[in-house]
Amino acid sequence: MSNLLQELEQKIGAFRASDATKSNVGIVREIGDGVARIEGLSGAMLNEMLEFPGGIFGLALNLEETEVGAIILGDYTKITEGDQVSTTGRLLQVPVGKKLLGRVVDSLGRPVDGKGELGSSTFYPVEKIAPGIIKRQGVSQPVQTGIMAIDAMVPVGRGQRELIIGDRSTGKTTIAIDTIINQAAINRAGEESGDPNFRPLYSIYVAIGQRVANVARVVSALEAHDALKYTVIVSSTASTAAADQYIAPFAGAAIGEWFMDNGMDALIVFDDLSKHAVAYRQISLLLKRPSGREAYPGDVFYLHSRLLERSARLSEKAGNGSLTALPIIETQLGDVSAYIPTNVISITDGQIYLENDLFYQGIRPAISVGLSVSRVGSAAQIKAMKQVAGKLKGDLAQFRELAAFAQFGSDLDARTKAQLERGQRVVELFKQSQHKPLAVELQASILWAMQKGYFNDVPVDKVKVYQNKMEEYLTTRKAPILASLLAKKAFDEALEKELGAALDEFKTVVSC
Amino acid sequence: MKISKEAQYLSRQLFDAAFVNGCLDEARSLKIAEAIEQTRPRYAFQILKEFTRLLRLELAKHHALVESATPLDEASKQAIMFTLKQGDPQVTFSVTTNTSLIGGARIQLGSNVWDGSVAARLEKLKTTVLV
Ligand SMILES: Nc1ncnc2c1ncn2[C@@H]1O[C@H](COP(=O)(O)OP(=O)(O)O)[C@@H](O)[C@H]1O
Ligand SMILES: [Mg+2]
Repeated sequence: MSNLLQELEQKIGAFRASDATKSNVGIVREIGDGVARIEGLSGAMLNEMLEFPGGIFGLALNLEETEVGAIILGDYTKITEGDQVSTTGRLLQVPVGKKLLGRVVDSLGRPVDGKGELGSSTFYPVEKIAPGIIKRQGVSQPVQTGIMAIDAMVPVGRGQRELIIGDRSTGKTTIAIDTIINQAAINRAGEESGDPNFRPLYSIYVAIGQRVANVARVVSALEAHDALKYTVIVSSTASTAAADQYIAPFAGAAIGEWFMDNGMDALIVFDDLSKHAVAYRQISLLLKRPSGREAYPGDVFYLHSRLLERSARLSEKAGNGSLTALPIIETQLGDVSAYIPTNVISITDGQIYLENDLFYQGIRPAISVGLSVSRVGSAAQIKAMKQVAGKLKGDLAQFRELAAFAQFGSDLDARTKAQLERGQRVVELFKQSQHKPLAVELQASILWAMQKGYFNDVPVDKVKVYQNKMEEYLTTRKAPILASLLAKKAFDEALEKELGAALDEFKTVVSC
Repeated sequence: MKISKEAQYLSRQLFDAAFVNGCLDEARSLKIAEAIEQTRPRYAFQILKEFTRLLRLELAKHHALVESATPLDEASKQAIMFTLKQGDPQVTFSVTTNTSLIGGARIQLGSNVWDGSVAARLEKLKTTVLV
C-alpha cells in the first residue's frame, strides 16, 4: 500500500512539474471509408500518429498546405465532421519480442486470439529504414523449406527475398505454410540435440486481405503440426479496413526485425502483396493522390521495395541475425507482366512460379521449373544437395520441352526416350503432398538414389510408392547413415558406399 | 467540398493578392470578394468559398483564442499579449471564460494549442495512471 502511495505521489510530482502541454490541433472536415481530411494540424509530421476523440488513432499520410489526409486505425464510424484531432509526436509502434510467438495479433499488434495480454514491453516503429550496406553480408546459410523441388532447384538462403507467384489456388499459401512447419520440425530437433551453435528460425505469417476462414485454416494447420509456438501470425483479413491491411506487412516486418536485430533468424511470409497493393490503391484514391498505371499510385513500387528491403542478413558485427522474406503475389490467368507482379519480381532475389496447368495435371507443388529461379540461394545450399541436384533444374526444364515435343511423334531415338523416361521419374519424385516436409538429408539421399539409377527399373506410376517406402526404410532402419549425412553435409566415398549398400539391401526386401 | 483544380488555383492567386507587405489587408480582401461576385467567373461559388476558407485560416493563424476558467486580471492579459506578440507581431486576441476548464487557461493560435487547464491535466493523468 505504501508503495502505491509513493508511486502516486511521484506521479503527482511529475504532474505538477509538467507545465502546460503544447500540441497541434485540427478539425475533421471530411470523413469516410477510413480516411479523414483534417483542416489545420500545421505541425503534423509524415506518418505521425494523430489522436481522435474516443481514443481512436490515425496516421498522417498526406501533408498539404492547409489540410492533412489521414487514415483511421480502428472504428472510423465513431468520428464525425467537426471533431478535434491532435498530434501526438509519436510514430506508430507495435509490440515485438518472443512473447508474440504462438499468438495471433492484428496489424497494431493487439492480440485477437483470446489468449489474453501479450505482456511485451518492447515496441518497434512500424516504418523503419532498412539496414544499410555496411551492416549486411551475403546470403550463406540455407532456409530448408522441406519441399524437395524448392530445396533442390530453387534453394532459399537466410536473408533472401524469394517471391511465390501464381494464380489463385495453385498452392502458394501451402508452400509458405509447409516451410513454416518444416522450420518447427528443425527447431524441435535442434533444441533436443542441445547443440549450442544451433540457430532456430522463427516465422511470421502476415495475412493481408485473406478470408477469415483461410486464416483459421492456416492457424489450425500450424497448430496440428505443433508449429504455432515458433510462429507469430499478423492477421488483417478481408473484413478489416484498407488502412489495417496497408499497415499489416509493415507491422509484421517490425516484429521480424526484432529477431534479426537480436542476432536471431526469422522468416516472414506476406500473403499476399497483390491484396496489399489493392488496399494501398484504395487509400491513395481516397486521399486523392494522383493515380497511374492500373490506377495504382505512382509510389506503389516504393511501397513494396521499402518493405522488402527490410529483410537482410546482418554482418557478424551487427549480430549475424537475418530476416528472410517470402512475399506472395497472386496473378490473373498467369499474367506476370501486370504492374504489381513485375514490380515485385524486380525487387526480389528470385521467384517460385506456380502453374495452373501443372496443378491440375496433379503435379503438386505446381512449380514451373523453367520460370522459377533463385538468384542468391545456391550459395546457401548444402554441398550434398549441390552434388545430387546440380544439373537437375536444367535437365528437368529440357524434359518439359521434350515432353511437349514428343506428343507429336512416336518414333523417338533411344537417347531421347531415355531422357524422357528419366524426366518422368524425376517429376514423380518432386510431387509432394501438403504439410509433409522432407528433411534435407532424406531429400539428398532420394536424389542420390535417382542419380545412381535406383529408380530406373521402377515403372513411372510406381515411383512415388517406391520413394515413400525408401524414405521409410531409410528413416527407420538406416537412421545412422542419414545422421552422418546431416553432420557431414556432403557425400564422401565412405558415405556413398554405405548408402549404396543400404539401397541395395532395400531393393532385395521391397519390390514395387 | 469537391473543388476543381482551376477554381483552387484561382482562389489561391486571389488570396495571395489580398496581402499588402506580408499582412492580410481587410479592404483588399473585401474588394476581391466583391469583384468575384460581380464578374461571376467560372466556378464563382467555389472560388468564393475557397477564398473565404483561406482567409478564415489566415485570420485564425494570427488570432489567439484565450480561454480561462475564471476571468483573467489585466496583468495576466498583458503578460499573455506580450508573449504572443514576441512570436508574431500581427497577433490579435480574444479572451473568454470557460468554466469547463475547471482551472488554468488554454490558448489556441492557429492550430497550435498550449493547454495548462486543470481539465487537460486531469485528462493526461487519466491516461498515465490508468494505462
Ligand atoms: N502439394 C499439394 N498437394 C495436394 N494438395 C495441395 C498441395 N498444395 C496445395 N494443395 C491444395 O490446393 C488448394 C489451394 O492451395 P492454397 O495454398 O490455398 O492456394 P493459393 O494460396 O495459391 O490460393 C488447397 O485446397 C490445398 O489443400
Ligand atoms: Mg492463398
